[in-house]
Amino acid sequence: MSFLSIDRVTKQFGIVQVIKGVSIEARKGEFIVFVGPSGCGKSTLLRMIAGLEETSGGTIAIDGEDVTHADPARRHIAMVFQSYALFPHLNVFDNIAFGMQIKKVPRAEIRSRVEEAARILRIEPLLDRKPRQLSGGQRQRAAIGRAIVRKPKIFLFDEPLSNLDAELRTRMRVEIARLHQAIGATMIYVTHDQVEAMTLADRIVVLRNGLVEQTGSPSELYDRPRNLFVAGFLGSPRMALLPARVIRGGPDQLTLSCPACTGPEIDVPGPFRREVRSGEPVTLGLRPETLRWDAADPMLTVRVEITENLGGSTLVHATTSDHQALIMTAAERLAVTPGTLMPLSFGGHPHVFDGEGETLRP
Amino acid sequence: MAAKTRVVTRAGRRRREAIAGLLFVAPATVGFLAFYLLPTVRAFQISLTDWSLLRAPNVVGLANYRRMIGDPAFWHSAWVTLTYVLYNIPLQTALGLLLAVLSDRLARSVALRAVIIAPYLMSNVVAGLVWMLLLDPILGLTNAWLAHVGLPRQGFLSSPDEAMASVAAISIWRNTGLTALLFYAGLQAIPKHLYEAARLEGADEWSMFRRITLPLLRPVLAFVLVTSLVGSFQVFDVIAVTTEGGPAQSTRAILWYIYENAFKFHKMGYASAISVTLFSVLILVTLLQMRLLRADHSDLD
Ligand SMILES: Nc1ncnc2c1ncn2[C@@H]1O[C@H](COP(=O)(O)OP(=O)(O)OP(=O)(O)O)[C@@H](O)[C@H]1O
Ligand SMILES: [Mg+2]
Repeated sequence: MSFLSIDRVTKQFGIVQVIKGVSIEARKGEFIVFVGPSGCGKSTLLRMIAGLEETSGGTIAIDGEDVTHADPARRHIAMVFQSYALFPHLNVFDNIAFGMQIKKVPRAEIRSRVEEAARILRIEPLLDRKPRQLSGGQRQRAAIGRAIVRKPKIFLFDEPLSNLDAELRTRMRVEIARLHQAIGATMIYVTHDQVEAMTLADRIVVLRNGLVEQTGSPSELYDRPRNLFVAGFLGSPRMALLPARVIRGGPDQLTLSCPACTGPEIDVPGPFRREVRSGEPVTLGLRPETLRWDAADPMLTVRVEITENLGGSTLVHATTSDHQALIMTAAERLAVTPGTLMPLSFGGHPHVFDGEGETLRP
Repeated sequence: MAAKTRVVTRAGRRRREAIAGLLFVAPATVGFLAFYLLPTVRAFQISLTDWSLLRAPNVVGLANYRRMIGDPAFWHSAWVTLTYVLYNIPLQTALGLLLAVLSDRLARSVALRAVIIAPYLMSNVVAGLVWMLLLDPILGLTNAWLAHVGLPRQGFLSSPDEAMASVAAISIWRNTGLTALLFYAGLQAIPKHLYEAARLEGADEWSMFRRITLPLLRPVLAFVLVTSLVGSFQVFDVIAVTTEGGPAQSTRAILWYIYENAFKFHKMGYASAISVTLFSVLILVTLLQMRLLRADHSDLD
């Protein structure tokens, strides 16, 4: 039985429906990440789980208990806010101890629990500082400290790292992963950053417009995106999407004509989810790392716009002959000048989406 | 060489900035000198004389101050003022805070805030006159309402025991709206996420108020307390239109006593001595309050 069970919940702000029927199940100890474009309802959904927003329809159950309309305090949930929401007039110790002081936990126990949390987060020397005297990363740790002392059933994180600089973000990301392993708690994490999503999640929930587009492990979503939206959203750099048309549909091979391609037609190996009729418009999806420089047997020729040397690898930004943007990751250091025409081939099984944007792969 | 010219130009720029700064504060400074500092200095000068408006003043040294210390009427007026302050400040502050918190947490409506601030838009004189009618022991509406709920008639402004409390009530009625509005503005500066975090930690409304709102409102609280305390010690116009210090001197507050000495008994020197004393006490009280409340320092960024 699942630990957190969200069943067809909806949320209405006035006449605007923001969450349009979302169902999510999470096992105990699972790390779930919500991703999606800005305004798709990630924060709203998280706040509904916390009880900070009233749920308009559907049910939310935690650990077998229906908490759809329960008071936030009764849900045994801790939340880490993007703005940290540390109490500015209290030092780190009192911030972490806040909830226990309210519940009148004995002083000795408060002290030992705060110190334990501080040790896990390595903020012991900072306990008597005020939040304003802390760096962004230290504030973040203090906010997480306030969450973990309470031993909540579920941790909620709303874009906790988005106010940090890139380097610190990477470090804190690893720390959160470490924390999850150390305490094994159920965590729900909202982010824009698909690297955070890919690296932290046991399971990713992709949201769009208040609906779940796809749920699955990071590799499932990366390897088998259900539709164009998920394919375009996950993966950095983005997957290149090239329009094409079916010439011959076979059971385990498609022959396509695509304006960007070098020859009149290319073959794409199966398997496919359904019979594809000839003449159907489709979209070919090519991940940047599946593209190769291939002068011998090129499938498409692109014009190089700019190259980015990342030290160990190179990113090539290019456009196809029909002006589609395309990015290729090359493992080696490539010296190509902008404007060069570059012959490419793609290996493996490229993604193919039908006219509705749904995948044709099983 | 190059370094030297740079130093010179920087010094020159600083001087120009200083001049511009002085020009900006000049109008306010002129007003301050002409209307605050000069009268204060003059009052101190007069307090050292026996000026009576009619005859030329003679310098009498500290005689006025010595007399003040031995004057039971002065001490009575000081005591009356203090009781007024003790009625006024706690009630006005608590009511203002309550109204602000309620309108912030429950009904964030502009109309409601307009109603709350409305009495403040009335001058003290008008408020005093209106309430004098309402509180009239025989014809006033207030006693009619009291009779309606079965309570006995009260003397209000015409009873020596109730007059000062009634004056205080009128001031509270008029000023609470402003206090509430100031607190309301202060509350808007407190991030809402703090309350959400506290709710998740299991805090109820009262502990959120005590542990979050109150400490973060401290600079506003200090401002409200200082201004209303100074204002309360200077209570005058409501008394002037309602009780004129009576009945039986029960509302003869310090300012009213100063006024009587100056313009009824023509003892300008003595009136000035009391004014200077009041001024000094208020400065001390203000400094003490600012220190205690750390008014210059906020926890909010
Ligand atoms: N209190 C509110 N009243 C009305 N509409 C709201 C309210 N809160 C959120 N919304 C709307 O609900 C939608 C979802 O908002 P939400 O904050 O959940 O988005 P999000 O996915 O977290 O976006 P972001 O990634 O930018 O944080 C938005 O269109 C927003 O305008
Ligand atoms: Mg959000």
